[in-house]
Amino acid sequence: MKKLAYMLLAGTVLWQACKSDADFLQRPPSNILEEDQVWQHSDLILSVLADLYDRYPDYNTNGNSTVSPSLENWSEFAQFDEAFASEAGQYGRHKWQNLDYNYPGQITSHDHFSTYWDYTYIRDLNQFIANDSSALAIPAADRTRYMAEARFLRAAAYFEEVKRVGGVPIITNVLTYDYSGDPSYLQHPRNKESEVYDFVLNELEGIKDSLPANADDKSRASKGAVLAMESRAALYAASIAKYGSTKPATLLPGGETGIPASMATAYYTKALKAAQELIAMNVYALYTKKSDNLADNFASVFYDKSSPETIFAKDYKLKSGKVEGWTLANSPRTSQEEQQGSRLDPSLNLVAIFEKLDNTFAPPAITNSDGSPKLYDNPMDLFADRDARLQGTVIIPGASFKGFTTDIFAGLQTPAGKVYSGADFGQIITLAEDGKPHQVVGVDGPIDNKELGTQTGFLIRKYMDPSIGSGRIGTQSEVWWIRFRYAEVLLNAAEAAFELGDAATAAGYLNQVRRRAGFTTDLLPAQITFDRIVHERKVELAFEGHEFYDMKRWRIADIAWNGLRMTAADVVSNLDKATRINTMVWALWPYKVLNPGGATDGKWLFKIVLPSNVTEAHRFQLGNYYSAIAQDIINNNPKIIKNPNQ
Amino acid sequence: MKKYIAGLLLLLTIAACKKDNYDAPNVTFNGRITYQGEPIGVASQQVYFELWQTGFGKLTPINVNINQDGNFSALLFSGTYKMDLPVGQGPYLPASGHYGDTSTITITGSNTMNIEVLPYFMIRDDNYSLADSVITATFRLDSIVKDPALAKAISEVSLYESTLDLLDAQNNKVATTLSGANITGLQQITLTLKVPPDQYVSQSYIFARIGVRLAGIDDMLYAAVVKINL
Repeated sequence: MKKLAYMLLAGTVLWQACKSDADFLQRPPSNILEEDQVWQHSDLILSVLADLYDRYPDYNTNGNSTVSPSLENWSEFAQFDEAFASEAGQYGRHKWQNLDYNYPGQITSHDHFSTYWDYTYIRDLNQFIANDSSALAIPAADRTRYMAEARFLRAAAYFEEVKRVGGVPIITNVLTYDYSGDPSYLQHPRNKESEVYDFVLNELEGIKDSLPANADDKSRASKGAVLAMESRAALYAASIAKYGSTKPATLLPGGETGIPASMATAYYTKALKAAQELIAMNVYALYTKKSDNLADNFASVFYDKSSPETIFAKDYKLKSGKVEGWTLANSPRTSQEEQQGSRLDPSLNLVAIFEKLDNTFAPPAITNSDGSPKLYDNPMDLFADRDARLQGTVIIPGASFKGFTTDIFAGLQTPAGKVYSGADFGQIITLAEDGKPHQVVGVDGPIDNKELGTQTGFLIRKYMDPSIGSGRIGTQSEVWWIRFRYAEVLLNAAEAAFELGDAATAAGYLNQVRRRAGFTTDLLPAQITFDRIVHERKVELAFEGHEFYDMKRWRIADIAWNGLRMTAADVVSNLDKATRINTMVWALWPYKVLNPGGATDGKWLFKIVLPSNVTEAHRFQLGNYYSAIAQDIINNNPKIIKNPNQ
Repeated sequence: MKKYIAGLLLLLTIAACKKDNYDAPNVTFNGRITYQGEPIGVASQQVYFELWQTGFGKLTPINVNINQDGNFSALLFSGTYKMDLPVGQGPYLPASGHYGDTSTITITGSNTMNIEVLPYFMIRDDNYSLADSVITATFRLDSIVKDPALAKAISEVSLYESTLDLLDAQNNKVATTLSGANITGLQQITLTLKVPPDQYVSQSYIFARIGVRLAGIDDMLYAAVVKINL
């Protein structure tokens, strides 16, 4: 019996040993899918595409952290004096003098601090597009859509590059090294800035009819997204052509930076045409679901995912691992769900520019004509009759979030001018005036140099998620990051029409956006000026990643951020001017009157304050109009030429 | 036997500790940015030129920042460097009048070398006087770059005051500015500035400096910082 067992065993071993080596070495892998397998199935191609969507370049990714875009990187929005960064590690945002030539930089895949230069992404997109002919097995409609989506993403990547560095090499095929020792055939010089914009616009024009002309899936490319990007890109190119000559030092003789002024009209025409085509689709509209409260209505634009205004967004989903912490980072202390929040505090610089509802500009009325502080019964009265977008964008003292009224005041002031304040949020001390305990500082702040409470007297509301749990580390939020929305397209159309000399059309688009913000008197065509256009974008699109690139393309960034110190008078003057100085974050602190038994007890007064962490004035140099191309990129490809003034 | 092993171990240990790192850069290269020997004032640490050294793999420029009095200093290895003035850096052009000419410099042992450039303007005959807590500065601007294709217009001239001797447009206590359009003649420009009263309490002296902003150039041209006794 034993013998038989041995024989069987030996036989088995011998039989196995004689199996062909070729079979053993060429087994199909069971843990990865190979390229030709992927291209047989529509679902598999879609998952490749999902990865490509995930790498879409958003706003400014900064080098001081890992690549974390938009809503996951609140501090980036404090870079340019729209807001104060109330977190000790981010005070540096207010202590730099000269903007780095690399800005907006990021750590690239090869661990180098550089501006956005992602040819890894572009190569993967090119590879996807080159596989068009491999995907014959899937339905033709799917294939057309996928290819158009990849070309949309490639156009987006080139647009983001040209926005930052000017002309870049346009590579549309898959570059592969042949290991010959001579890589020079892979080295391409920079295209002209206008050529890159033309490439982007032509690609978008070519794919717009291959994508769905509806708003069913806003996290994927659609005809609307294509047209919105087209109008924005054409507008950027147009304004660089028109205003570029005001800064001759930013132009390179080969056209790698700068666009000839003669091309401006054609680009403005394209911007207007694309915007009008989107408007005529009748798929998108301004959000007006909460028309009884226009500030709430404006705030809802960003968190209500059923908004007809959203055109293309980066989506998040609770319990999926893909959530964002904007609300966690920025919750007011009165409604916070963790021991943190209040990081992004809008500046008085921004708050002051919101108009009165009669279309006039006025600084917050904080003093009487005799110079004494003006007293208010309710702190919100100071901002009464203002553009509804103010309270849709900013939580002002006395406003509520998640049903909790904010408690923002810096101290108590006696009629004699003596000020009591505290070093802790909501501190209570017994005062000599009446021998009773008083709360001397708000639960939300402001306390100078105390992080995680407001330090400007304001808190951010835009993109804040009012749902329960959005401020918890373990839950966070699924509010999405809107890349394109209808109001921006209307403003694009208004700007393009204005620059083309058609002020009546411009006023028509501008007034649609303004009516939604509560303005009842329309602007007349004669009232439309460049300053008006700039102003409308500043207030409508604050904290949406437009400020830096808009100021750049209008070529006024070096005037607004001129490196000179701002005074308390500067922050409330020239409110309607596009070139208004904006180099330091100023605060507006509310105080309560302490006058026990007196008529004025408990009334509110306000003071303009410079937070002590704002030590330097920001300066944007001519060399910042085009970000620096990292030296290792130039070393690898000597055909790349440097940007000017660096 | 054990002794030998111990000895061998000791030898190995000593051998393992051999110094294998490079010496730190030890050669000081310093000098001044000048025009015909006259130093040129700039904003502190904001203007730079590049030194390039080839032959060591990665090609990365060494940016040498210039102090406010036109001095610079860099700690380098001995060797041959190429010096390049980047386009648009500084209120001046390279001495030849156009960019792109790199000059080769050889550095062996610490040495001093002035770099000649071609400034658009020179601030000369600057005088400061103090009366009734008002500083009056008079000076002359000499146009150096005459070629209309290269010359730059003056966009403004300013007088800066501070209690610290680090002084420029971004670092000052008070300033007064005269727009280029309001300058009547470059031969005699006068600027006045009131010293804030609080400085009389804490200070026995202050510093002042003239700055000239040129249209289309980031970096301003400055006169030397002067100390004024109160």
